[in-house]
Amino acid sequence: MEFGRWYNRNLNRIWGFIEDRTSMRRWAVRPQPEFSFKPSYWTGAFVAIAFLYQAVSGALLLLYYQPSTATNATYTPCGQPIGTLSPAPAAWCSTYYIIHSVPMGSLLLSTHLYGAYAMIFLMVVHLFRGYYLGAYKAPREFSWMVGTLLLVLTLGMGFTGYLLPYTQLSYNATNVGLVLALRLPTLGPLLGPFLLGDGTSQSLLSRMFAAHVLLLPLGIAALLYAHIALFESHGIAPPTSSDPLQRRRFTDREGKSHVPFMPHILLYLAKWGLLYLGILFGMAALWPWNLPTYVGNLSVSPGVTEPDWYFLWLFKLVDFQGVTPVIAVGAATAILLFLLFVPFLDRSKRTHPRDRPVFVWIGTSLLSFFIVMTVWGGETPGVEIAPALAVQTLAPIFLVNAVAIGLFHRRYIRTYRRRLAARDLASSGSRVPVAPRSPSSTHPRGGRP
Amino acid sequence: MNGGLPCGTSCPRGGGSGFEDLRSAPVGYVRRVAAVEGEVDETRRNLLKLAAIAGLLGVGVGGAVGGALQYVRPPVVGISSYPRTQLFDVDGSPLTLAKVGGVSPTYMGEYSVATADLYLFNYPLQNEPNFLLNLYPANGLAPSPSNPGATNVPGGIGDHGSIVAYSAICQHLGCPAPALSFYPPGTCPKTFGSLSFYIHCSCHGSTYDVTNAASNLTGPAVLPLPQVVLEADASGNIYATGMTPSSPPVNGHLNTLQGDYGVGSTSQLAGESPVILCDFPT
Repeated sequence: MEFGRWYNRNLNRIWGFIEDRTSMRRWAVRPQPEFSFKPSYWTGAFVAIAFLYQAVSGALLLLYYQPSTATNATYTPCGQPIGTLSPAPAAWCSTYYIIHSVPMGSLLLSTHLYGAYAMIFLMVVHLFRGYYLGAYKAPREFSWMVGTLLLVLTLGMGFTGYLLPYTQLSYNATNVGLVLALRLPTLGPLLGPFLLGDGTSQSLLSRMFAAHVLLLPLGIAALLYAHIALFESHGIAPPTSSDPLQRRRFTDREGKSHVPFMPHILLYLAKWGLLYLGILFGMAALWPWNLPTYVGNLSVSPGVTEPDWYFLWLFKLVDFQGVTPVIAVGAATAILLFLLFVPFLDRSKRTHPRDRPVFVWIGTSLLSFFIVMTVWGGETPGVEIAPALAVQTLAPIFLVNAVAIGLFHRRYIRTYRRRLAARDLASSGSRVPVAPRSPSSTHPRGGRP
Repeated sequence: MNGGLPCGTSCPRGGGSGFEDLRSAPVGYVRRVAAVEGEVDETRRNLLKLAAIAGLLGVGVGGAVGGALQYVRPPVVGISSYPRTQLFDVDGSPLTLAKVGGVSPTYMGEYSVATADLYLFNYPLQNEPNFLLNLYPANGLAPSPSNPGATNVPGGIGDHGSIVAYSAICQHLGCPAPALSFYPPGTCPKTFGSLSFYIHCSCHGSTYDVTNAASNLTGPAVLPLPQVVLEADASGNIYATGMTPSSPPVNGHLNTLQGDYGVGSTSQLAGESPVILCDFPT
């Protein structure tokens, strides 16, 4: 008891000393309402946790990785026979060295790779969760746009990081991406020198390396700061509702019962972070990544060239007959621009998905399109697809979604009208309501059918 | 207090010390003097200041951005013209028609996938690999009127006009060998008419006709592979001297001569690589 008091007093003194000089309490994220402590409200925090782990593991990998295409026939740290016709480049050798010689290197490299997959996957979950629940609506438009840019930069991290181990596979896939850009009319020749440098393989690797370890992470950190700062100024998005006018406001109880950052939110996030790390390390330990063969090794087939899963849909799109780089890059850009500006396209104030059938249709179609194309690309990478087959496969996605959502929406409106009529009947006593008063006031979307 | 500063010839008004007068003048006197000498338009002055600052900023930022853009665009390395480059085998001996063509009747006839080798050499730049192929008799049978084999293909050299060289970088999206690979007869079940040997890319499935200047058999590529102009001297040594006029630029390069260091004008090692197993989707 005596010791406890002494301990507390001294802890308070130390903490007070630090707090007086730093005001650290004010650094914390502001308190969040109690109801939000469900995983679905913290999908963004999971992405941030994944990003933090990528930064830490990436910094550790940097201790050994050499961004060089130079080959050294006499010194072969990768255990390659001396005097081989096509010796391995240093970038590949240093990766090989991390995997085979550095203690825990294989585990670290695998977690960095799987962590990247997880980050992109969690980002997609975060994006579609916000999309369906209308989280991009006023006043959170800029928050959404910054988030879309974060997705672009993260995909850029994926693209640039893919080349770094310098395997045949990654080299070929990177070439495909670069030539897609270079084949664009007017833009291609303009961008070429910035992407390729002086045209040597070393120049390309140096650029990809610089982008992956410094330029893009700096951009991500800056945008992430803006994203979190905007989140801070708006607070967490309240739950959606069928309130015909706008997003439901917090109830008094919800609004008042806020939970402080220290220690509750921190511990809550730490719990999820530890679970994340546990799964990540478990998977890396069970299925360590195998390094494919290096660039320049002509004696081994690289197998079918394909990018990581998050670019497979684009890779498959290029397989379609008649899809030129302009069409492929144009389609990707159009999707991106749609996501970026969706807060200004979907102008209604309603947030519940059932009140936004058109945008739910677009979102679900896009999601299904990505899934179908990714699976298709994984099943038949590099197989040319005739236009008829492409239409046969992709058109139903949009049609089935439209029909399903349309039917659901019709049913929803009918139920809504019936309920409204029942209420009118109850409130008007003996008078029999002839019909709903006017179409605009009975339509759940408030006169904008 | 009385002395003040000596004034001399620079005194504003006649003799005496102007400073004394100013000191005893009411507050604001100096400003009024200035005002009398000419009204200052504060708005205009601020506008001018703003313009000056904006101009300076513009020049500074513009210069910095321009400099940065120049910085990230290094001079492209390359060569000015096609070198005449002799090809050498891996063991250092010159590659001759006899060597490439001489082995070919059995070489091509016996093509067993596990043991056969392909020649690859870089030309004209170090990151531009090319296949060196002898197509005689590419279908494994002796040529006859009904079975011409692959003799006298466009640009071919040697006794049968069957030794050719094509870029080993796919014209679709730039996948290099061995993703782009030559399939000798018997490697792949897929045939195009009677043609059972071709160059095929495992990235997106483009296929090229090696007997016809590497024109497209299947898309998605729409351009042929660039073809290397080969020459042989009197003793049969093989030289690469350029690309055929109808060749598109090697993929990934804005220009075949730009984008890496040249291979040099004297010699180039032709590396051997095993034939890659059939990757053609059935």
